[in-house]
Amino acid sequence: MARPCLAAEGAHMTDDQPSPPRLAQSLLRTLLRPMDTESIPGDLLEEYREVRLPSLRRMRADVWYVKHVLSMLWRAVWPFIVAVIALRIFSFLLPSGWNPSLVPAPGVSLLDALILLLAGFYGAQRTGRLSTSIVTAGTTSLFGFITFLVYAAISIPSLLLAPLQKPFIFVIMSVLLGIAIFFGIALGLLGGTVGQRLFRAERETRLT
Amino acid sequence: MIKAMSTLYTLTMNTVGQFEQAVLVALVRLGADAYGRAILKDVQSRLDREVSAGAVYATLERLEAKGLVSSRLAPGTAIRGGRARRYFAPTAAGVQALNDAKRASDFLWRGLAWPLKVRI
Repeated sequence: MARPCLAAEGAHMTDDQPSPPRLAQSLLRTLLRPMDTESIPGDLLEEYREVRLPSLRRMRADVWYVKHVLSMLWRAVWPFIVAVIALRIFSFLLPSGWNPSLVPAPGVSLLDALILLLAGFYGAQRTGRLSTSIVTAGTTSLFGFITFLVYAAISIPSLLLAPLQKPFIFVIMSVLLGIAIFFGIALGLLGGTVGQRLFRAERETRLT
Repeated sequence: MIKAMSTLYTLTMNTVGQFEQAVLVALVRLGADAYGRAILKDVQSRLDREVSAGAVYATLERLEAKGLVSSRLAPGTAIRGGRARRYFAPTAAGVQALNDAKRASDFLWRGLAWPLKVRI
């Protein structure tokens, strides 16, 4: 009940002091539940300005801030990253074809899709925002692509040297990464739409 | 023997993990000053290691969901850009869980001299 009043009070305060990187601040806000969007960024900003900035240089203080924001991101995505790693490990043990690929690119299999849907759902169900779905599913997709590369390099070690011999492979890998991230974001949004509806329904139930 | 095992089982089923205990103890120690940043610092000094903000806030969220912690918002200061502070306090169930955790630990160690001596 005190929130609107406090938010209004905060908005009137002048804030011309040094601030952490804007991108990190935006990422932090994206990851937080509505009830935490003031208090947690405020805590980190207070520590950044009062302790870190005077004792460290600007760059190191920024690194400190980004590190803590990434710790919040890790808390939001770790179950999905663990699931993706488990999927790659199963790919070693089981015969090929057990987990069909939906698009001819790495990290876009049927079970990858399920994990990304869940990541998007969880993100929006927690915060009520689709931007959280994009971040959670996109990050999971990025890790999925990286774990696929590790899996491929372990399966066929000669692949590790291939990009050095033919630099064009970097371009192909960038395109494949783009496909994987687009796939992740699209599925994240799909899962997020359901999660957002659930969030709104829960909020309405609480209000009534 | 069965009674002792039953007591230990009862005590351990409703307990909180070590990190949750560290956070709850920080809330008790800080009292009315227990807000996110102060809790993070207290947990870091008590555990004597670097602790991420993500770990502390996730634990506070979990404890609040379990009904072991309550929170309230208070006005922010200029250095925080006017952003509100969220103050946390252990609920009666939280204090009970902390007492149970201590009792379970003491029960486990009963009859043993501490520190233990290594037998080679």
